[in-house]
Amino acid sequence: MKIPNIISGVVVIMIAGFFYSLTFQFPETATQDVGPAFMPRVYCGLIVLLGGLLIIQGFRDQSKKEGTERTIGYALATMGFVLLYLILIPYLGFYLSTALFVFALLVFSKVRNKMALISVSLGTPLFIFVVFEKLLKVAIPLGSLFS
Amino acid sequence: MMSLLTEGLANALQWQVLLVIIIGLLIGISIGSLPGLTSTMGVALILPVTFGMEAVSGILLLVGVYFGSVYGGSLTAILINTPGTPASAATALDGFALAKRGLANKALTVSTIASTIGGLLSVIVLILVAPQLANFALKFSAPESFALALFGLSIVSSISGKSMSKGLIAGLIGLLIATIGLDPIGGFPRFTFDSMDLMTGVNFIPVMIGLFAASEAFHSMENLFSSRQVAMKVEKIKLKWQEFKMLIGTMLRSSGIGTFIGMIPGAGADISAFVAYNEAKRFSKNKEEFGKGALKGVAAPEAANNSVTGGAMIPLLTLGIPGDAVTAVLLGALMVQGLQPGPMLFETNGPIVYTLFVGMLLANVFMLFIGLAGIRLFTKVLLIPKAVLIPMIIVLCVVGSYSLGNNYFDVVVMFVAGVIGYFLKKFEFPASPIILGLILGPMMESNFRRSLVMSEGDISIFFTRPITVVLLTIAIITLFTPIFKAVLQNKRNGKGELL
Repeated sequence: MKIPNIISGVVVIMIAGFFYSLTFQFPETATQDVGPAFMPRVYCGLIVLLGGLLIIQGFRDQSKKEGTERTIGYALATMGFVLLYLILIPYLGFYLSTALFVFALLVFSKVRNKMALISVSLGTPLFIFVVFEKLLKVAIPLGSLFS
Repeated sequence: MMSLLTEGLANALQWQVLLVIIIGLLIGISIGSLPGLTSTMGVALILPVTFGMEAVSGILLLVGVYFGSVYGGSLTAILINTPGTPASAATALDGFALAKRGLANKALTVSTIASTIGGLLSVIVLILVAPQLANFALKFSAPESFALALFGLSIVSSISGKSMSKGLIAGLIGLLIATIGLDPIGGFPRFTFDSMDLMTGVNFIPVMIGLFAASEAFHSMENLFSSRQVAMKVEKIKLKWQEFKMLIGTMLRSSGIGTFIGMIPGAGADISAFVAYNEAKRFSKNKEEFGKGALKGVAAPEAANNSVTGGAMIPLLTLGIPGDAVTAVLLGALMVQGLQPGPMLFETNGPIVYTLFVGMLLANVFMLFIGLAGIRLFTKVLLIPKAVLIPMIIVLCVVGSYSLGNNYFDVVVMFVAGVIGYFLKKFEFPASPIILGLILGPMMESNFRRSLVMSEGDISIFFTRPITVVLLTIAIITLFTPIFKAVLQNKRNGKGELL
């Protein structure tokens, strides 16, 4: 039994089912056109079919269980950092948030060299400023705190 | 064509353009030599930089990154037996064997020359073939375009990797995401959940940056504590003219293989490198040398994986069909610049297309000089710790997706795609089919429905037009061949499992 396949099969079937149910709100159109609901329904139907296949495969799989990974915590924590970073940008502006984010992530990845910590967390926003704001004229958000 | 070529040459020979190509190559080689950073990620990361640039400079910057990264992947393959990109896995076999004998310099020179020859030849084929194909494709109407889109999608089965059903599901999810927004015929909003941002649909560029770059950053975070450093002695033994002459045949043959495989959507640089390596071994008189440090074993995969670059441009530019993830990103770049890839591109933007061609030729020539002059400098990139790279990659993802349209919603899309991409990889789903579905979905649906309107609802329109029939047949064959192969293989292994 391969649990990940069963889980992913169930998840995709649920997603497809949800989208399929939404297509009933779509209007019917002229007889010549198949209408806006047609293609999404075909896609959802095929996903359900293949998802079912995935579940069956999952049950029939006889390969041994793979070792569970504990490192997933690092990735999840990184996503948490990014989420926080994205929440901060509208308030603190891009540059300050970036410096804080880079610093935090470096500390999290056990970088202890003070020079590296300071130069990278200040250098990254500086690089963005020079390349994107000055050279490419992208309007970088300054944040509600500063504008 | 000659006049267009000379015009292209004049356009390309401006110092800004030349500088952009060189910068692109340098960035590409650095990214390519970092294990874990693929060509796709490099091009996706640099893509937003091109939004503010002129069309020609912007695209050529990306072309430089693309070419450079394919080449750069072989540096680390040879020096530390760690292919920077999957495309250079074949190079590591003999390249590292040579390096272990202290002959890294020789191996690197062969790799540089082979890469240049492969790249140059493929661009020449591109220049010769593309306009003819585009001319032919001009006759396409809605049913043909539908069949073409379906053909583009059918390659999902060959890029699915281990599990066919997972690849197909990923492709279908891409197609489903593509239906978000206004419906292409009636203008009815689908799956928008009353959000204004979703009205125009999900932009595939932030999705691409998230799936290919951000998700990789999350992954690297996990592997952060398992990296290693290897020191290698490099002796200064140069390649002799006599040895080079022996390699010419291998290089030419491998370039041909690479260009041809590059033209087929779905088969990429990694496959071509292994095929060329195999062929070189088959043609060789002393086969036992392969794997122990044969120069031909370096020349063949290198010529092949670089010649894929020009080949892959053919379906992209003439038909608007990206053959793999990198060309999908390039497709996005072209569209942002207002250049819709497809047969019309040659009609409406002839001068730009030819400037791109000349730029690609120049990029390959520059690569030769950069490679021969400063090859060993690039391996210094490996000294940058991953811990420093990861936050920088994430910041670039954020700025990149924002600068697409100064829209914070795109950043959110990028992040969501990054998280989804991470879990897809955990559950062994391939990411590229999603992008393919996202890009080709609208083309397929709108042309399908337009065809039916044309024929007043009669489905036979897809079976009575010769080109449509041929394209649909190829699509079906492309879709099912890998599935049949997998079924056969499983039967032979006695597993009896489907897909």
